[in-house]
Amino acid sequence: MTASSTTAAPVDHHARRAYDDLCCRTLSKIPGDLNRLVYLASMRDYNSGRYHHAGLEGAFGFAAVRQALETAHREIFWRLSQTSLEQLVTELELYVRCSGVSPEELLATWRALQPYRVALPLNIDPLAAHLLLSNLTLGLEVLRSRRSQVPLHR
Amino acid sequence: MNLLLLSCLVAALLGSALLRFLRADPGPADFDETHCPRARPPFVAEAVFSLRDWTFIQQQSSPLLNSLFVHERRALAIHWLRDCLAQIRAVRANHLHQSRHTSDLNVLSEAKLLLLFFYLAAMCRCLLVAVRLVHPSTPRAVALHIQKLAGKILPGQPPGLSRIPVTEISRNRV
Repeated sequence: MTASSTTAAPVDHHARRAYDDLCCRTLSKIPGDLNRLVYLASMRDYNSGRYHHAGLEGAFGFAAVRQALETAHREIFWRLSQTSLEQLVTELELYVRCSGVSPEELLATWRALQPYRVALPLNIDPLAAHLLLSNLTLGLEVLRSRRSQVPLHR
Repeated sequence: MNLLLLSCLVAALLGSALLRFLRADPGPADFDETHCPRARPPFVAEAVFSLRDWTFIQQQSSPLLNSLFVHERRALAIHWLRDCLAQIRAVRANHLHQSRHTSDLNVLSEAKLLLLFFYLAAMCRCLLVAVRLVHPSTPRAVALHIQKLAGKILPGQPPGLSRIPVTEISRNRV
């Protein structure tokens, strides 16, 4: 992805370094964009909407880390919203495998609570957000449908 | 004779519409480029009217999934079309505001632009009806045509909106 040509604001070198560090040390080790999206959303305070990462803040400062986390969150959101339904189902399967929870339990919880709604970044295109949420709803139904077709003795 | 009358009628209608367009209320005085909506990223219409996603859903052989897909995509298509209409209206109002402060208006290009605005709005309204009646993937070609034309009058929007340059995060898979 080359978003450098679309950069609107002056480059903050600390934020850039924090972003690179975040990508190399953390995000590259997380499998799949959906896992990364949920991870980055968990770095955000529910009340203030500000991102925090204790380890990175010690090295790069609050503002730079906040900018880096926000940028990474938006980038992953855009990437996920552009994926096809089939690819998103693969992302969901990967998320289910990595969650450590039984697939049935996770699917039931996600269908009931829709926690992925709070995993989206702030101030994003409402239509792109609608598209991703709709695709996630469909993806969960695809997984549920596939599991219901699996014979019980397997 | 009938053709001549029809031509005169169409010319009169276009003329009055152009006059109305040029003399209409300019709207808020501070309406400028910053208030002008931006074009949606092109992948949105592609995804909303995607045939690939529909093929994938059909492969799952589940009637419930098929109907859920149609329901979801119909809602998305309506959202996209309403959004397009709102953007066209906003761009038209903005253009009107700017053109009222211009002394050397080119009537021909203004007429062409007016026709484009009317054509796009009419297409969006027709498609709003169509997506309620047929499968949401059916009017895909028309939707992409609207998006292409709307892209000519709306300022582009970068998909990333990044504030810092971004490097590719390696996509590790388990």
